[in-house]
Amino acid sequence: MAVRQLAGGYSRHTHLATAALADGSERAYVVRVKVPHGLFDTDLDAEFDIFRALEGHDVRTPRVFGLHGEEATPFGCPFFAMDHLPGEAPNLWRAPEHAALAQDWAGPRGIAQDVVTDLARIHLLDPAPLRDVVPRLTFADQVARWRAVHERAGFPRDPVVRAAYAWLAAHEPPQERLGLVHGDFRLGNLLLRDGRVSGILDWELAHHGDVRFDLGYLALAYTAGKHLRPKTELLGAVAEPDWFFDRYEELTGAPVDRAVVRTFSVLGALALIALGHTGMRRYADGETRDMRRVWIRFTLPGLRQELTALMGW
Amino acid sequence: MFNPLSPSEVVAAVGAAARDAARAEDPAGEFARGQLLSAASASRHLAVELAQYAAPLRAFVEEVVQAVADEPSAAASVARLRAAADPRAVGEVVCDLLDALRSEDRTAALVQVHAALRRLSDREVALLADAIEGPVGA
Repeated sequence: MAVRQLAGGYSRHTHLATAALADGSERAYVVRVKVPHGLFDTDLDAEFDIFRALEGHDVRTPRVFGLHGEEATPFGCPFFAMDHLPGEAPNLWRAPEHAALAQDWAGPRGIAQDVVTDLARIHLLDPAPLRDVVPRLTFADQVARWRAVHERAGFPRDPVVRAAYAWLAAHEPPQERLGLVHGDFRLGNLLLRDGRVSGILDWELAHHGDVRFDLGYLALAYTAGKHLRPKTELLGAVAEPDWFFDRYEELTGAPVDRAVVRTFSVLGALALIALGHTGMRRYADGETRDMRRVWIRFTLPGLRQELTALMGW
Repeated sequence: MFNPLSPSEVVAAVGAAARDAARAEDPAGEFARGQLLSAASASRHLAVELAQYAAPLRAFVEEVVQAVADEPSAAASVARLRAAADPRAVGEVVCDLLDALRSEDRTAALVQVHAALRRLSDREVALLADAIEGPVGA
């Protein structure tokens, strides 16, 4: 069996394993390895259980098998394997990726349709079978969680971030819309192949909560590839915002309050900032030598700018 | 501006990544190349910060001082602002100032400080973007 590590992944390392079968053919698997001192300390067993729970539902996720929850593995950490789904996750920080997405939007809209349809399907899933698998987080829980993560990193305070948490306290949505929340739903966590979505990955932050978090998170310019300047006007880099929300409303039967989406965009940006601070703290404390934990420092100016715009400053 | 990890910590990290790459016995795979690319990108961003952040930060401090000129309770914060040695220290003072303005319901001053933060944020992104992504229209 040949195994090679793929780039990407802040709390999981991903390896491509190719097994030679008896009939001379090859089969590929993806191995998800829990990284010590990852960006978010999520339970690998829980992630495995989420994938298992999603099997049989109309959600494009890989089958999983072979969970090894012990530390003493060939990877030095717990891991599980999953089917290797065809397709590639686009890197939206690269401008050329946007050309293909813009063509999809201007033309067949296969990717745009799949993204909104898949998200609606996730949100319409009956959460009951997943209640024992994912945590239940209210809006207040989410805000408290990310604030605690941010403060635990212990860096000097950021006035924009501090003001944004105060802003959230004044903009709590009046009613919850509960369901399964992916928690990190963006094109970088989707596989694309031949103009369609072929897989949905990275469920580590999945929880039972207000599903509009996924809308707000996807609506961030950051998750559409804005590091410094925006690279696209398309929501999530796939569709015009009004089209996307109108289509989502048709599929779910639930109106999309744009002001509530903005609230969840602020929360989503704060979550990203908190995660970045965690990574930097782990590097500063010598727990990791992963240079990406340092580089993440340079995503903060763009995220901070986005917060000031969302808050209407 | 109010970014964790000091410039010297970032420089040390870039150096550590270069040293790790130089000492590696195996050819660099995808992950190792990614580490070097992150280090190179970090150095480009840091170069902008070291060369160009001081002036907009000074301008921001003056804007905030003007915004709270009529707020008697802000006098101590103004003194701390003028004495602040770096962006992180400025950020700490501005946090305390915003908390005080919020608690005293000083809406007009709050709006002005928020606007100053917005302008500073836009300026920081513009400086980085011109250097990293090229000038607009290039």
